[in-house]
Formats: sequence, structure tokens, C-alpha cells
Amino acid sequence: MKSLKIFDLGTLAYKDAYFFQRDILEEKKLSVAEDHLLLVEHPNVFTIGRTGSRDNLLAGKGLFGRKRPEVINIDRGGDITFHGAGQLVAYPIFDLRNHTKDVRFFIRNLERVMELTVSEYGLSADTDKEYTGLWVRGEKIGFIGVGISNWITYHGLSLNVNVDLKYFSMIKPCGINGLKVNSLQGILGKSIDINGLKNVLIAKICEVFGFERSAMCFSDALVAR
Amino acid sequence: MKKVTLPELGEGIGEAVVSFWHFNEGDTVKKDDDIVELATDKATFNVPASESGVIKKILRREGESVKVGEVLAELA
Repeated sequence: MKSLKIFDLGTLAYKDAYFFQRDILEEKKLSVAEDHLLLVEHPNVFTIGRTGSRDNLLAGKGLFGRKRPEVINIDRGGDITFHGAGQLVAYPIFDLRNHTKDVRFFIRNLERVMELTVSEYGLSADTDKEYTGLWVRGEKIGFIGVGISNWITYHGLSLNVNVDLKYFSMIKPCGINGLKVNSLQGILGKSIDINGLKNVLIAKICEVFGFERSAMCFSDALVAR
Repeated sequence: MKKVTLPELGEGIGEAVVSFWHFNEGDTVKKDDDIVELATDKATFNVPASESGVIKKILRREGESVKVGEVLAELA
């Protein structure tokens, strides 16, 4: 059984979490370090992947002024998305040479993880043949955009839990026309304990990717690194 | 001369778009350095240097589509 080292970073700025991923990635390239999973919530931010366009940011600066979250272009796949409080972001830093060297298979497994996670909340979710992500009753709640270097993955998935959905109306999420976005809170009509959900997600990642869960490190461990 | 090609990315992915060159022609690279990044719809994939050397020629520019097995650059 493979082991998985998990970091719960609490709330951490997007760029800080990105550089933390890169550090682990470089470390993994040099050694046989175990696979890592980072769990985090980001302060409000829009990010645009390599196949995305700034045209999909609908809200002009004049309209939202200083209230508009920062926009970051980043080296993941996919188009524009939003991250903010109440959204669980998971960054799997896995060496696919120890799993299956197949980009699409990895992405499908991330979809499966989210599908199994929300099923624990009584929801039957769908995936789409054409578009990546997770849908419940025609509304998208789970998003995926990954990067791979030397077959080691970074970036990952985000799941709308209690996130403020108004920010998704400022963009054309994933660059898809007419895409409807929701959250677990929006669907279930109640706030969801995000720490409880983290534990469910971890269990499903271990199940889908065949990990034995090892100790969880919290964000203070980040400072100690 | 060593050719840098787009490797098999897995089932159902026949091509990808060059999204970022980490180096220019004439640059020296070390084995395992990411040379070029390619994008599929939801993933970016970095092609590493199979050995250390100098990038002699870049054959595909950013924005160009490349099929699996096609040559991206020449390394010497």
C-alpha cells in the first residue's frame, strides 16, 4: 500500500500554496518522497489556466473597482475559475509513474473522488463526456485543472462547499457558455462543515488511488519546513 | 542529435498545444529539466530533457498543435 502525506493548510493565499506545491514537486523529483495531498481554502482569487482567456473575466475593473479579486494567470490546464472562502481546494502531488501514466485517467479519478465525496452527503452527481468536472442536477460544483512535470502532478481540484456564488457570475467559468454553478450549501440548503468534508475527501482519495493514509500535518508544519 | 518528442499522454489524447517554452534555442538544459509545456483541455504536461545538452532547434512554437510522437526540438 502506498502512503500519502497530507497537509491541511487552512486558509492560504493562492500564490503561497502554489510555491509550496512547487517545493514539494522539486523535492519529489530529487528523491523518492511519498505522494502528498494539500488541502486549502484560498482568499478570493480568479485564476486563468493555460487554455483560458481574460475575455472570460466579465467584470471590468471599473465595475467592481477595488472589490474585484486578484486575477492570476497560472500554468495549469483549463480556463478561468474562482477560489474563495468556503471552497475546498485539493492539490494532489502524485508521481503517476507509481499509479497509471495516463493524464485523462488521472483526471477521471479526481472526478470519481469528488463524486464519491458528495455521495456521502446524499447527492447523486454526474460527470460529462465533453467537459471535465462534477455536476449535480445540471449545475457544476466541482472543478479540475492540473499540471504535470516529470509525471508528477500538481494543481488539482476545487469543490464548492459554502462558497459565495456571486463571484462565479463575474466570469465565464471554465470558458463554457451558459454554465450554471452551484455549491453543496446551495443544493442542500444548509451550511456544510468543511473540516468534516476534508476527512471524507481524504478517505475517497485513499480509496480511489490506493493509499494508506499517513499522519496529517497542519499549517504550522508549513512554517517549520 | 537527440530529438525531443511529445510522449504518450494516455488513452484518448492524440495531440496537445505548445503552451510554454521554458528555454530558448542555444540554452543549456540538464537531464530532467522541463523543456516545454503542452496543454490539453484540463492539463498541462511538461516534457523533460531525456539528457543534458544544448537546445539546437525549436521546431514547434507556442500555440501550435503537436501530435504524440512528433518532434518538438532537437538537443545536442
